[in-house]
Amino acid sequence: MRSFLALPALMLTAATLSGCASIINAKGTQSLTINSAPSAAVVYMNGNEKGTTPYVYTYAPDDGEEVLFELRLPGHQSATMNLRPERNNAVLFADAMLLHIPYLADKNAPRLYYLPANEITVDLYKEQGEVAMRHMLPIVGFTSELVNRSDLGKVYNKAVKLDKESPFRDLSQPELLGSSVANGLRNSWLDARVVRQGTTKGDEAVQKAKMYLRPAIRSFKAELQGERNKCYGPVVLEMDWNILSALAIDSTLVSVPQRTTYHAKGERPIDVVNLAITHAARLFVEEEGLQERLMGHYGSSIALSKGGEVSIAVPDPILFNSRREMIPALVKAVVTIQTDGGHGSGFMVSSDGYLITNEHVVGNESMVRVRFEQGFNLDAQVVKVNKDFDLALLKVQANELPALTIGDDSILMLGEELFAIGTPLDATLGQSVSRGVLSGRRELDGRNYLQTDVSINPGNSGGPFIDVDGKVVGVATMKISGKGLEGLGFGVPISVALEMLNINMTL
Amino acid sequence: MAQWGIQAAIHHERMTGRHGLHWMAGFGFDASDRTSIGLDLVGHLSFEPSESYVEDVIYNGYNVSYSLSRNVIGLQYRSTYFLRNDNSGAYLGPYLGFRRFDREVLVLNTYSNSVGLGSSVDPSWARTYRTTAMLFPVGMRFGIRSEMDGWYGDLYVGLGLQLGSVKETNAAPFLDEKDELKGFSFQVGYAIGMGWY
Repeated sequence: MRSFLALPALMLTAATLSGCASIINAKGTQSLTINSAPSAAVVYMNGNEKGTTPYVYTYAPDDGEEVLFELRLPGHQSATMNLRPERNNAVLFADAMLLHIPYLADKNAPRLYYLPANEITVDLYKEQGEVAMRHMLPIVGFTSELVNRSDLGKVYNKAVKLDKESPFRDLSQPELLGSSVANGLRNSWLDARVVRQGTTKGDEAVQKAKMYLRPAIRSFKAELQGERNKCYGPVVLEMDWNILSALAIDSTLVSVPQRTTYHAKGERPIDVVNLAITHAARLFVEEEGLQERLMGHYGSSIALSKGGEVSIAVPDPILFNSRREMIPALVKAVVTIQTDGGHGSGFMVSSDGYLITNEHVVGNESMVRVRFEQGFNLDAQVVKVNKDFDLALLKVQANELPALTIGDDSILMLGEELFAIGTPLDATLGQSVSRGVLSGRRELDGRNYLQTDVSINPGNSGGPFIDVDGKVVGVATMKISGKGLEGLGFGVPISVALEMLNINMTL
Repeated sequence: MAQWGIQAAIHHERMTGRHGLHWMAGFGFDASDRTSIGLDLVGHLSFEPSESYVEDVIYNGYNVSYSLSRNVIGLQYRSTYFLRNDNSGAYLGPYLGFRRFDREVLVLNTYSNSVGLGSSVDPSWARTYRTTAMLFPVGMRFGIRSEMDGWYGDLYVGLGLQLGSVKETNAAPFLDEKDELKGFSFQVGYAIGMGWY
């Protein structure tokens, strides 16, 4: 009797599961609409052009387990999207319970799959073109007005609050969101980095950059659908992009209010906050006229760094009869600069006592001691510094001093011979001479440098690079050192040094 | 995703009154990341020196010594659905198969206990009984599969029915324990296999 009951029960189970198939098939969708923002982008599927957005795509198993879409719109960067149809596990379950007999028919049938959303919007960003020069924009702080706000929208039809368990909990720690902004600004004309003000490096970065960014979130609202860790839908974010001057504390140069909509495309809800902010940053950099406005402020800052114009009389050239006599004659115009913190090098550019060195050699001191090759010492006053370009102009009270002739760094050829004169390592090694060639012209952090393999060491900073004619063409500024690294020295071209110290050489 | 595998199992199946251990060897195919199918050959596994053993019983006034041997050979088709999408972990699924069940009961000796009436004539029931049954087990298996570097282990239990011809298997009247081939059955086993893509 038991067997008579059990068998029909088993058969009934199988029949029920089989009957469920039609209900199971209703899960999900085999079609979705692909939108783009902006619209009318050309849609390529697995490399083949299919139409323009909005484009309705219907899944077919022949398209593969992962379908690659690419959207192209003139003037915009192309965007790709991988669409992975989900297996319909309920159909698989029914197949398995029916001894896999239906699977033979199901395995290539669309009903075994469903697409994760009815609609997906792909955000397209404008092409940025060639970036000639990037401007440092440290990200200092990130504020939010959302703390304790409970109306952050819905995830999977459930209202989301800002608490420890919230998928949007990153909003409660806005100071950690700066890296998302930096991601959004990557490869743009803004060189954004997260720094901490109040630390030495952070303050230095802010001062060097002349302006800094302090974004603020005003509102955040998400409507995300999906399942498990894949969500789809819009996230509306309102932000203020505040750019502040580093010269006048807390003075806002530019404040750009912005409302953006980020469209989630299968990400984890917990990642959506960062992605929405990265999206907003990418649109911020596309803001019409922003670059011009910031360039104006940047130009003003540079002008301020230069300080007032200093007129210096062109000195009489140091005479020498032959190349052999050149360097022994020129070393008389190169000095050792001694401070409480150590020493560096410098060189005279006028007979009446002006000399150039690096800003980091003099630091914050207003008076330093200068030792000449001839053996005497003089006190020098720091006339001005330009921290942006690591330059300083000093003056000693003396006349008829030997001074170097200013050369033309623009005509230097790659491989051309260069000499460095300075005081490496110890003050007793004053006026040491080394030789190399011009290795290249580089731009680092938006500043031009001469690269050379001339041997320079700590203490050489501020010393001159001299060309084969005995004229100064650069100011030794830094080297890249490390295990296995050699011959990577950098100097500020003398033309840049004169410009950034606002020196006018007069006859 | 479509992984093939071969496996060998120690398999207990409640088929007879006394013996239940079987060996099982077969192959499987992961049809999807959630489902798998397999076909196994099933045979009787005995740890005794021979395929038969001797029993002494008292029946109808006689001491009866008989030997009993059994053999089972069959196939089992299994279909599984994994609760996780990586063909491992807990699973469930139906099975279906057949078993050919052979049994031989051989009377070795009979001795009457009646006082003074010893008989040299064997009773009519003292003969050899040979029976064959075709059974069709069907049911559901529940198990756990764990994988490691191409190998996998599979622990399972099954509940089901044995359908088929079972009438004559207990024809020998003196058997002290009857075989129970029909009705509910259960199985439990542990398989070790290797898989490849």
